[in-house]
Amino acid sequence: MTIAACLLLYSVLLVVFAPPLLSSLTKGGHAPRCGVAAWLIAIGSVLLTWVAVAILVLFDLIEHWRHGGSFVVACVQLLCDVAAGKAGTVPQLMLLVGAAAVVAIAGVSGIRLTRTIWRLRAQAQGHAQSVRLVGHPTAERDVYIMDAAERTAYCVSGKPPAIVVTSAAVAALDDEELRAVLAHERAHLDGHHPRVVTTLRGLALVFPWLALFTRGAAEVSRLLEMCADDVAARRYGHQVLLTGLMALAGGSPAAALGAADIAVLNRAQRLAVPPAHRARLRAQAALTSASTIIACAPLATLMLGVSGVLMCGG
Amino acid sequence: MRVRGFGELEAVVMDRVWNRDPESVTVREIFEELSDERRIAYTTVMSTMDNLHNKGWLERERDGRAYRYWATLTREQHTARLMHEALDGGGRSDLVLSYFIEQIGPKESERLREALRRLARRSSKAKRR
Repeated sequence: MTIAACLLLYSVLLVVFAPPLLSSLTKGGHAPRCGVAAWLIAIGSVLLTWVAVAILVLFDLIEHWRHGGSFVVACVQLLCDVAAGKAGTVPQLMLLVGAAAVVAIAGVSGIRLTRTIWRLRAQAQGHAQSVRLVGHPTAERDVYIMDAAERTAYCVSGKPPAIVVTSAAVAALDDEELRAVLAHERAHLDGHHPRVVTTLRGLALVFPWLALFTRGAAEVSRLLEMCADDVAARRYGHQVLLTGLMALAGGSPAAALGAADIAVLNRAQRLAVPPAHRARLRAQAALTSASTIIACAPLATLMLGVSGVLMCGG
Repeated sequence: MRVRGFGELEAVVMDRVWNRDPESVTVREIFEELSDERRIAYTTVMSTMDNLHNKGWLERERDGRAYRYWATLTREQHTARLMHEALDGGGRSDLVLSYFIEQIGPKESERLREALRRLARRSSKAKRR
């Protein structure tokens, strides 16, 4: 039970401190891939920790049922005894209810998450399918042109996925720029970025009060844009991609979201002045060590806990 | 033109139906049009159109022993709906898309252009060296 408490404490620490830490480490976008990995490791280890806590509590419940007596049961019983001034079945019952609630919350959250992600996936698949029926197919696989006045390009996952370029965007871009934009979108699909973003969006929808998930979803999609930029820039050059970005940016008079503007500006600046090798290495080192600590802490807790149990048992 | 998947055949059929719009068509008419260009079975066309009806893309009405089909919305209406879905979500909708660029204001495009000019200066400097 101490293991469960330690893991829970660890997850709380991570939920509180990981978002500001990772946001500041990934701010410059010098190492977007490492940044994505760090966010995913932090989010993944919180989720795994919760699952582990739920399983440990469940085991403890079963154990308690069969033999009676466990650390946490004894602890809370003592507290309840002090508070109520008497011992009896009431505190035990309360404890059982509490533990059952932990397990139930974990189960319900899991189901809600699965449902939400399914809904998001169905929505994207429906959109991709409609694009395939309505858009004009091109010589490039999965690329469709839609007749629209807005200059935009995007990709949407599905079976099969679709890359959409509007006719206005095609008119605004020259051949090379268009190829660079398509390479950017293709990099999203090849890297399974929509799947990652969908999962994170699902988490953010199910746990909207947790910055780790909401900020994580936003930051990871920002960093994935940079990853896709890097792939496209490697093939077509930074300048072509930047002029492509400019050509599409010029055409949308709509009042914009502040965050989106800053993200685009960030990307443009990265393309205009690619980060120096040393800055990239520094960012990679910082993010890799942060990821290692985040990933190893719960494992160390588990190991310590297990060895402690063994020592006590022996 | 070769048809690779079932989805692609749906697109071809919708294209034919939209070309005839606002007239309605029968499965046989579409089948005859298509069989001029490719080897295709009548039943394939029939089940494709039945599918499109079930998905809400086609409406139909019994006419003697066959159905007459027509498109529920024009291609333009569908395009408008999809673009609305894609662009007006503002990141809040349930539709997860990876944009090349999100909508951006004029002030920010100006700052972007400034970044571009800086890049131009830098690369010209690099060339001179």
